[in-house]
Amino acid sequence: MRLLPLKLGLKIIENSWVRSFVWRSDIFFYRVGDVVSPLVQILIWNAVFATTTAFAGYTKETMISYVLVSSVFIALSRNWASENVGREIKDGLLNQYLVKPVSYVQFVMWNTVGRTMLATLMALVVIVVLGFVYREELYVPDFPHLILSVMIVAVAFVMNILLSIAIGLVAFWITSVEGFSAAYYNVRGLLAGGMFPLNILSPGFLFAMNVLPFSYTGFVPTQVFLGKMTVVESLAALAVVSAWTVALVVIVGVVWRLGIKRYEAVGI
Amino acid sequence: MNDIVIDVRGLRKTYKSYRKAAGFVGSVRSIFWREAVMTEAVQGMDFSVRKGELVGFLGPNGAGKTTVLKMLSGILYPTSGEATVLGYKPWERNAEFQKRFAIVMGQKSQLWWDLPAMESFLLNKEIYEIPDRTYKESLEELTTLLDIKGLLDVPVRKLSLGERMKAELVASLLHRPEVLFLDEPTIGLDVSSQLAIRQFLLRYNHENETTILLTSHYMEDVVALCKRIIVINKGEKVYDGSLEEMVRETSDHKVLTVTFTEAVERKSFELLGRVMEYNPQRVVLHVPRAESKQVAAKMLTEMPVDDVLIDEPDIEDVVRKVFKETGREGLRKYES
Repeated sequence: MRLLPLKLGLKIIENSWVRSFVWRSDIFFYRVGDVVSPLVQILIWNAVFATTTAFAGYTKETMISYVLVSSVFIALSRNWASENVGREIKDGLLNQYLVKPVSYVQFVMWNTVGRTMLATLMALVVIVVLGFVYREELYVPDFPHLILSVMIVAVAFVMNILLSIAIGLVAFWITSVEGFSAAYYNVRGLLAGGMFPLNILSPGFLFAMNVLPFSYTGFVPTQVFLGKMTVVESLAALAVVSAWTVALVVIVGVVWRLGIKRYEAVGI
Repeated sequence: MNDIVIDVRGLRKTYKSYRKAAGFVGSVRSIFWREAVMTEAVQGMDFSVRKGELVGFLGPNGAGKTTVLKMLSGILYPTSGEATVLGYKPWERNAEFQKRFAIVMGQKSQLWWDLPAMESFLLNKEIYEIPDRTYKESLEELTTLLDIKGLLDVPVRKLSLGERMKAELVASLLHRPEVLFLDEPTIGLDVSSQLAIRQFLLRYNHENETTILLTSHYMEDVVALCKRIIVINKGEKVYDGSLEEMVRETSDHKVLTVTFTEAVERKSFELLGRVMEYNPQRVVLHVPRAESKQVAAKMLTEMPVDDVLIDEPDIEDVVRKVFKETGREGLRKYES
């Protein structure tokens, strides 16, 4: 498979930014949404820690740090590609990529990088403000843990895009992936640890989460950041998420090759 | 001399769809049980096109025109059969092949809707790896010819349909394709925009020797642009040849339009041919092809004729007749 030239990739990113800026009010309201989830979690945990000093191994300080850091990591690694891919297949918009010397999957990857970068920058502004408000409670990691957590998030970002594309490509078989995709976004948020730290539940559940890819986009790198995992454990986590990424490159390739033969290019 | 650019042999495409009963109950039932329906969109098509030819694809809705174009541009895999365009199998989607052809779909835009057309052009420049100089020259030439220089920084969603189609053409031609597929390029356009697009295509085809395959619902497009037409109906090719020849072959009459200096009674024409329109000073007759000259001569000598016009039948009527006859069971084919 031929990789897209870097110049084209950068042009795709620029193009996605220009498109995002067309709808300035949209950008604003999406960011309003970003602040709600961490804020609600902080309020709930404040209520919980009003009556106790420790909960499932977390103090108030580490729990609030968890909420803020996991919000940043999830914002860094998320994307909305499955909806777009599904719609482009369903509505026949895929046609315009199929007739050009460009790989659709790679185009979507660059485009998603562009879209996500911009959304993330905006989300970071919101979370930095929250971080400033709660600066007394925020945990400061040592350098190796900081670097390792960022590396895990970076790989998880790529893995997450591939996962979304694979789900979007299911549209070759079930035509509309909108319901599937909406369910996936919700489950993904929960299993990434975006609503609570996954280790407050049973060890069996936690084991399953360590095997599945979702927790590597939020929960796992946050545990590394908070120093709750050793350097060796963190390296093992990095290996797992990298293995998932490689596996998904293969999966997306296979699903694409099988799906494209079924494609009916409706509605020109 | 081997200058065949498009070669199609036994090309077939069968679509699978599902039948669903109407109403809520039908919808619920279809979740668990669906009846598959196979539709033969293209049933074994053969034709070839030489370099520089401009060929019109004619056929009623659902005839399979667009499906053929989709297979030739590599969007669809055929169910069976073979096709090569510029020597490549289109559905293998070889990048070298894709840099040498383009498809314009009248009802599907390749331009980014929210952005000025220029952004789409620049993206295509990178996708097709067009050198800076070629890009500048092509852009200048195309935007001048199509007269849209002043619209390049207007968001596409704010362009009129005609302006958008011109921008689509620019986007598709920047990489100077040798083969161009046009699917309904003038659909929904007003008369002057249709004319502008037509004139552009004629000139472009002539100057660049671009091979063009075009589908259109507008007969004017086909008459103005295509020396050769391929008529398809129900997925089969029913005619391949020149438009004039099809008219000659399929209609056994000519149209005589005669005006008079004085009123002439209707019954005077009844033995000469079929009266299609009549008023005392003008008549339109359908006359058997072989007799048209004699009938005209007879009228000129025996009636107070002001003017006589001998014409081929209206092309739209001929095509409608061909569609109707070839659409029936026990398909009739016209051979050129």
